[in-house]
Amino acid sequence: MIELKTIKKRFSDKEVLKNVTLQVQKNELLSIVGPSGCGKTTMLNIISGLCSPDEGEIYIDKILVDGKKGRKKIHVNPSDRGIGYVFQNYSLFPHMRVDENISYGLKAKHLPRHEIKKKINSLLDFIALRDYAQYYPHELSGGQQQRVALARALAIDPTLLLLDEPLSALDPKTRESLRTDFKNLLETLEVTSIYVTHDLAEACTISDRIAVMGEGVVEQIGNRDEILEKPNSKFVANFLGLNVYDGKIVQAASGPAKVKIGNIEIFTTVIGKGDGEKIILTIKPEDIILSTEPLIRNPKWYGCVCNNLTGKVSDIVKMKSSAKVLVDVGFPIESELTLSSLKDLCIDKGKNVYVQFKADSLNVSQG
Amino acid sequence: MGLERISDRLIIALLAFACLFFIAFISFPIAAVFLNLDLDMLILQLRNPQVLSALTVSIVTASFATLISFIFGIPTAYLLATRRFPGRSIVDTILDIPIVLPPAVAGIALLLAFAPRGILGPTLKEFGIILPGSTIAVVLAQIFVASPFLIRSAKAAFEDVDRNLVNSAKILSSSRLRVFLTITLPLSSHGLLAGTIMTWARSMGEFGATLMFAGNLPGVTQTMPLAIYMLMAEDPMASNVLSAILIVVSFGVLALFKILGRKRYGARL
Repeated sequence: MIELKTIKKRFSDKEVLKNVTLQVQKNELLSIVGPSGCGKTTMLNIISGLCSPDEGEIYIDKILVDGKKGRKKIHVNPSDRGIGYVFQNYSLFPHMRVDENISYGLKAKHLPRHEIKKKINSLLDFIALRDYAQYYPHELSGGQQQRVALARALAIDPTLLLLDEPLSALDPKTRESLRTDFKNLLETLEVTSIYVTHDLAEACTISDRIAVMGEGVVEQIGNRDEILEKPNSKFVANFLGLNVYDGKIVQAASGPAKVKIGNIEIFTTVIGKGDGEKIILTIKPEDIILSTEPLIRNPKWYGCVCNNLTGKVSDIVKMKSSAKVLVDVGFPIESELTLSSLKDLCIDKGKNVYVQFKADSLNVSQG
Repeated sequence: MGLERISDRLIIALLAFACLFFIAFISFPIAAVFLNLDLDMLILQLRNPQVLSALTVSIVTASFATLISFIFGIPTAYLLATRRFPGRSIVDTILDIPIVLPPAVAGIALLLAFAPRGILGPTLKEFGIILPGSTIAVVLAQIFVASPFLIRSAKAAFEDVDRNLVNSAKILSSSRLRVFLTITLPLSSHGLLAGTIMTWARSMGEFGATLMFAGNLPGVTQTMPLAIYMLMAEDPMASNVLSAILIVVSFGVLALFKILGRKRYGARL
């Protein structure tokens, strides 16, 4: 088990980590997601011992590796923490062959030669690169290099595996296929792992739990559904790409409540809130239905309270297979449609559209 | 469109002219040395004891100066490349001074510091050491003038080593020495070698500081450049031959420098 207690780190003027507290259970795979510069890599470097925290404590399997024991400052060397670290951009030693890269940590432990050989072979089998033992890193593809980096980290039988955006340097197609490979490899390992990425989809595929980081703090930690369905702050909702609004309860009720966003009133389901209370409302773009014709209630939504609004399309951003349509309904609201739906519905910039979403699609949190 | 093409061609022509001007300006005097060379004279001069002794003094002193520069320069460069400490930029600047200092000034500075009437002279004299006029003085002058080349090159080479590679090694190995010997050193070896070669070449060509500090004693402190200077008046052909030898050595060193600079890691045989 890994435990970080109130970790603080400052680089000159910038406070990179502010009171980070985190626990990773034995054999759990925790993903840390967040935008660039939010302190993810610094956190890994601190856990690995490559840099020291200014304040706070780190425990690996209940052993203090960084922090204060009485008056004594503890900082266990990176190589004595039992950590395997897979760096971004592979970081394979370019002047060493694949087998030399994998055996680097084993040689430092002065293991017998036959034992090192056996371990290299089993790891090469594990990453399916048995025939590449004598190759130099630059002779391998990006995906192969990444697997060698994983094997090198695993060679020392680490207590904790740290992975810093291990797939980010790959092209999207390779990344997609390796994501599943990586998940399968990590699942068979039974090793506690922390996986840093800025790609939420990658975190959702690979990990047991996700921690969302922003500006040096862990904003939310939970399983995939908890994060995606119940973002607890504006930051997390924005990071997930949701519509986020400041609202005010106009009329609380046991059923749907009336809420005001700007001057527009909508229905939502809130529990335990009073009139006049400020709240934060979030809704996924894919939960918003658009049409150029007046919308008929979706038969599947029978019994649900629906919000029906009208507005003007202010922008359309087309992506690979979907499009984001921004509509002004008195406040900006973003809907995500497939490209074929966009074509079928004849939605264009400047057109008036009807907007519909269920009251219970809105997630409500404290304002 | 046509005007643009003409102006593009004009720019290329001007660039080519500038480049050709410098090629001619540098290669013409060098060619002149070889054009004036008589093969019989070359063979004769290679047997001339004064020429041979100047060549020996130059090679021996330049090699010692390079070795000492390497022993002290590599740790200095490593420290400057990998550690941040107060006054680091001042140290960096001090170590660069000899590069911009006129060699004659370097000679005067060395005299004022180490000559019998200099600051450390009386102390050295007590131990029976009188530097001016000795081969050691030649080595010291060469170290003073040439070692910054090695330090600069080594520092750049150490700085170029990817920090993540060193960090990967630190996580896998507790021995800093092992990390240095197996990762940092091999990955910076081209830069270190290039710096060493440059230092040796600069030492071989050192003139001003050596003349001022060590003097011009044949067989003791007379290096190739000093011999060229001396022979200019009494035996211009011998001076020409020595110049040709130095040019060949310099060209060889430069070629080696370029080849090493091109080499990449991990080439499979």
